Amino acid sequence: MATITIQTPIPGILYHRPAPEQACYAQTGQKLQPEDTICLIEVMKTYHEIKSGKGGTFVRYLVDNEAVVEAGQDIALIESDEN
Amino acid sequence: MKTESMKKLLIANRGEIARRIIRTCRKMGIFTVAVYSEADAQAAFVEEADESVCIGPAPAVKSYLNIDNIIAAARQTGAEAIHPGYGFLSENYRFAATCEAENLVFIGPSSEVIKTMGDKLMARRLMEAAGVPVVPGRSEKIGDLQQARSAAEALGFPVMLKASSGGGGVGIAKVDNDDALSKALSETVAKSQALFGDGTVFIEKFIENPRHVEVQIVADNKENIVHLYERECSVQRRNQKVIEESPSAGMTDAARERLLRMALEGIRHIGYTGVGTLEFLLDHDENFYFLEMNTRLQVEHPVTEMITGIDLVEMQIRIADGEPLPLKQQDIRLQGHALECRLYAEDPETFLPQPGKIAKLQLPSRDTRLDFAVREGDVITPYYDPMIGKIITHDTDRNRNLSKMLRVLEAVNVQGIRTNLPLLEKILRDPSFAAGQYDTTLVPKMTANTMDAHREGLTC
Repeated sequence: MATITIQTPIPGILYHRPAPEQACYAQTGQKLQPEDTICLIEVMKTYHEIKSGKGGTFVRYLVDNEAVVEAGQDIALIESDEN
Repeated sequence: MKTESMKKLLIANRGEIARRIIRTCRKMGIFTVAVYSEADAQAAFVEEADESVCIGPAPAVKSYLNIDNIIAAARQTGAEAIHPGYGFLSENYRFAATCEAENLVFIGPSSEVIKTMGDKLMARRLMEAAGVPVVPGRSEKIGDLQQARSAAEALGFPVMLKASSGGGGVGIAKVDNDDALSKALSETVAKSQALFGDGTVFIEKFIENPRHVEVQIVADNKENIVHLYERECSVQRRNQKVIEESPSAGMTDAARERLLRMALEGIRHIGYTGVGTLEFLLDHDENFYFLEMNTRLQVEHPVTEMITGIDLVEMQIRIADGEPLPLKQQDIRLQGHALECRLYAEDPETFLPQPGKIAKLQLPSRDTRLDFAVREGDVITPYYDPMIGKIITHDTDRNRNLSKMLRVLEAVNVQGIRTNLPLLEKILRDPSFAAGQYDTTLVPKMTANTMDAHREGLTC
């Protein structure tokens, strides 16, 4: 088990939820598959789902909901299933 | 030059279109008020307006879409009129109705017409009644899967499901066969309900590889209506336009005449006033079909201004101020050829937007009209549209104008962010574009390979 950080490949405004009234994409302790979405990034009227990329357990977001992020910035922590 | 009554106008928009409206107001002796979000405090349009008011934080819903704050800014500054530009609140009938109730002149048609034409099913029915060709389909709401199935079978697959409250490429789904119909219908209805608060969906035949041509019209309050010819807008990526030209290169004179006549008849039927655009799809046999109407100024309005010499913003203001059209159809001459290239802050191959600081911005000063949002040193935020400027050229004929645009683009130098400049040059050099033989599949075909590679890359 190793704790790994997820980076966003694109800059923009990061959302923890698909819509304001809906639940977060990921909750602490939640099991994740590599193709699971962990957050949404809005940049210039386009929306991009950011995938976990790795299987594991979600630990926490590293940036607030609606925060402005840079490309390459660390955005979330997960416990990887891989050794 | 001055209008009868208008002295101060508020611009409920930002970027290049705010600067564009300020230019015409200055020419007409009208004072301008810019409204801006906290993210735009340093923007050129804020500096150039006579007055400015901050209307909220960066997200558009809290500023440029905040009707209460915009009306309050108009009250505070004593503006008598509001120009909505394009996008944001420009086609929001509630905003137009609020302006009407508050005795502010809305630069555009009545809230009632905006509401009617914003309802795609209603617009389709009205155009049908006016004798304007519409895409083969059913001018009724789809009630259930059975209705969708019988309509689709009668039309033949592929078909399009369209949200009545959608537009601009949002809330539409192409359905290739009967197996996919059930899922597509429930998804389109749900999406339409979620996005627009209206689950009304209708069905049309899918037009293969269409061209996108639109007609500019101007109508005053006294039933005078003129067209300002067409614009060819088939160079698109992600259903959004990249290069526009006027006149359209791939259309016969007979087809053009028919299209312009139909557009005038459609406009007369709905009782429209102001500047507006009817969008059409053209198939390869020069059949055309009404698509939708934009009840506002278009991004690509400069190509029409270049070939007619008419200032469309001035027209909008004068008509909203109650003046009659100053010219008749026979006074409007199509002169030469105009092109517009939209410069986007985005990767030229993946189309991913590129916010950042414009470290360097070198633009040619000759042979071109430049409608730009930004200056060197400005920062492009992630909050709004990626378009940073429009490059417009005009010449006596299309071939000369293509060469002119290429020379102009070669002299453009943007550093600090990636732009679509290489894609613009590639399109202008493309043999089918140069020949005027292209449709909306032009850009997707040119970029198909890199887009596939990119999609695989994002999930890795």
